[in-house]
Amino acid sequence: MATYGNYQGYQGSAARHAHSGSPHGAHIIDPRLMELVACVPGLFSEKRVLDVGCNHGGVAVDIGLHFNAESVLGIDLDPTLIQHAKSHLSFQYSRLPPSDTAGATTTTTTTPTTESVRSANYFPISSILTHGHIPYPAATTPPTFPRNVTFSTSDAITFFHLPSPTNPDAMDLDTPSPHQRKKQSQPRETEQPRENEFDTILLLSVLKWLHLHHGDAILPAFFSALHTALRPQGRVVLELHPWESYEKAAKKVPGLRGRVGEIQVRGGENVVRVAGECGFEVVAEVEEKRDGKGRVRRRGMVVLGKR
Amino acid sequence: MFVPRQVQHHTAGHPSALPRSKASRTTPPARASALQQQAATAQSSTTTPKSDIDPVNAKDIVLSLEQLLGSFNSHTPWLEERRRTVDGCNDYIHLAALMECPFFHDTKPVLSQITLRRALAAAPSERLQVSADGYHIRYTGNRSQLFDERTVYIEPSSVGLTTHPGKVARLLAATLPSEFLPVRYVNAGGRAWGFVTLSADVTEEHTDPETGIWPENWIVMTKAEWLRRDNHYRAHREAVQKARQAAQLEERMSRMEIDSTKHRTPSPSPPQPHDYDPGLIVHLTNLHSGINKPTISSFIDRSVDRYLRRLSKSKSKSAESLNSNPPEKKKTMVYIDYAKGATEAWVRQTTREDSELIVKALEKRRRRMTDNEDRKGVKVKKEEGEVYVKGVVLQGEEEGRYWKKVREAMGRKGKKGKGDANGGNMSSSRKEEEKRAKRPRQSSGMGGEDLVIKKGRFEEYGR
Repeated sequence: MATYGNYQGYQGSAARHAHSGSPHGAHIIDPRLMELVACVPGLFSEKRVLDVGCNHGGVAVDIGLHFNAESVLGIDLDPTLIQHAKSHLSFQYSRLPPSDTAGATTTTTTTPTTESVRSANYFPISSILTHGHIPYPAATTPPTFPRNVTFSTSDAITFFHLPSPTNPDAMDLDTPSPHQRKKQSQPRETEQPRENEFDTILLLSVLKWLHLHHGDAILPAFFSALHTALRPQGRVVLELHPWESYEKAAKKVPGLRGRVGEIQVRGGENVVRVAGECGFEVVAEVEEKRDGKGRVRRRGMVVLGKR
Repeated sequence: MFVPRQVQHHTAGHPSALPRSKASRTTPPARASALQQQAATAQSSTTTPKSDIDPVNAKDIVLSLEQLLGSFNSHTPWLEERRRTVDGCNDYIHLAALMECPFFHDTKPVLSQITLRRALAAAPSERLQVSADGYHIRYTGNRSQLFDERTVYIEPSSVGLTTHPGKVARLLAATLPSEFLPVRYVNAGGRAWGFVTLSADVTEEHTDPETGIWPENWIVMTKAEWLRRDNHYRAHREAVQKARQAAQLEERMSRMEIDSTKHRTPSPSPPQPHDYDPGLIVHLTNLHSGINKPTISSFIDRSVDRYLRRLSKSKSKSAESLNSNPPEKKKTMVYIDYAKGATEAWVRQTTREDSELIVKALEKRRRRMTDNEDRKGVKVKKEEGEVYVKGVVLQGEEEGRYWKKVREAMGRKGKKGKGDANGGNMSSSRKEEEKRAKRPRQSSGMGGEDLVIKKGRFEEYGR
């Protein structure tokens, strides 16, 4: 069971809004990215981006391919999802026309255009699935697509070297198989982030899981770690779950049932307040969207900057 | 006996018991009208309300049925075997047969006879005729051929859409000009792509997204363009792979060159008499570029095994063989030396006889490795030339040079702790055994990671 939101085939709240439940095709850029760039121009262009809880890597690959990012690092605690993400990166590279596969990014603009997206999906999916992927080109300096996108198996707590969670059993909700245990015991692929390492850090529908598993105490520690890892002009993007989503998750995951009642910091505005206490300020906001029945169709997003 | 309702639905009037049932074959037209009346009365009392099915879903199902029955497609032979004589017409098909058709295998929710009947009632079709009993249908129009000129390749905006041919047809019907309609057939290649055959020829101009005749965010190209890009992709991939192999080979050679220069002694001694057992190394060429140790090992083992088997068969037939011993089974290979992506390899045996046996077996069987058959191999025809995997036992200077490189390589590896106590390398089979022994037991349920990660599976998802 995906107790950390590490769902297989998860597409985020964006998919529900645009396609009524079905995952969108790989040639469609995640609409959340387009909204973010509309709010904060140049959010990814020539920036070092970290995607925490990258899942299958769709967002990270889109940023690396279409938004001219200098580098993108996607981390997720689920090794299966990281495998998928790497495979997706290879797949997306294989779709580029030959002139673009020589180790050059397709876009040099900050926002993808219809034309650039079309050219990035030159080769049919059928060919790639039938004949296999194209091998990566030799490494270049600076790294260009696909070498500007990397994925690593790591959870946020380990990655940011956060203090021990309030409940040490929190990490054992998913009883891993012996094979998974072996994988978990292997050393992490990444080291602790350096100070001022990233320009943009994405936390898309991630914070709820950290919050539920580790309680309110994790928030200030986590935001402080983000503050350290972020450059002075850097940005943190938070896609926040509404409170009813916390309650729903607690119903699904037996281990979380007791913990949801202990949480005091409820609602997006209170989470942002905690971030403010750790040296962040709100730079931009993308409104939450609800349908006629009051259900959330698109989660709200907040872009934070260093004060 | 308790029979679940789902099973009851599937087995009721099940038509897959071939050949045609006696009852359906011999229904005379005179009796058909009586049956029709009976069915009409039965229907009026037992049918479920039409409103129980979503009208959009009903339309999708009917459009799918029209595609399946109204064209000469890959399922046509399957359907032909299941046609029945009902109401005097011999081309009716039972709904239960349609449910079973592979065309609907990926359709969700799974179809039932009730669903089909409700769909046909809620969205009546001009081209589909329902029998009097309500459980058989036939196509009344002329069935169309699936011409390439009328076929387009599509990548819809959402994944899984192509597995619902009716939905694809409905979405296209909403945007395409009437000349292209109706949609004749949707062939789902995968969850994210497929081919759609329309009613008129489609040109490059038509597929331009600027025309606005296609649903939003769909990638559409003519079949000719798809074929061109597919060929382009294959050629491009092959070129990239070749360049990569060449670079790897070059790098490997230069590394070996540097290593041999480093280890060269200032005053080279005259060539020593053999300090190795000659005739143990077989040089393999024409291998497949995607080789690895298991594939080479399997390919050779299989070749030798089949060769020996044939040899023993032919000998047992002849009278002389009665007194001769059966050929000895080949020993395990000691070492396989290959580079990733290279098309050649060196295999070391324990005896000269084993090396010769491998060479003979490869020469006799004349098989080449291919993408899918790199273990089994594919028989090479005479006209294809000498493209099969060949083996040559190294001799003379060539053999001496090879052994020298091996010794140097072994010396280097020895420092890293590899190799056995005698300075030799661990055999690949032993390594495999050790690996297997250390491997943790896979969970039997869904938790086993190997069950989840499958190459190419993810590509399907999300695209």
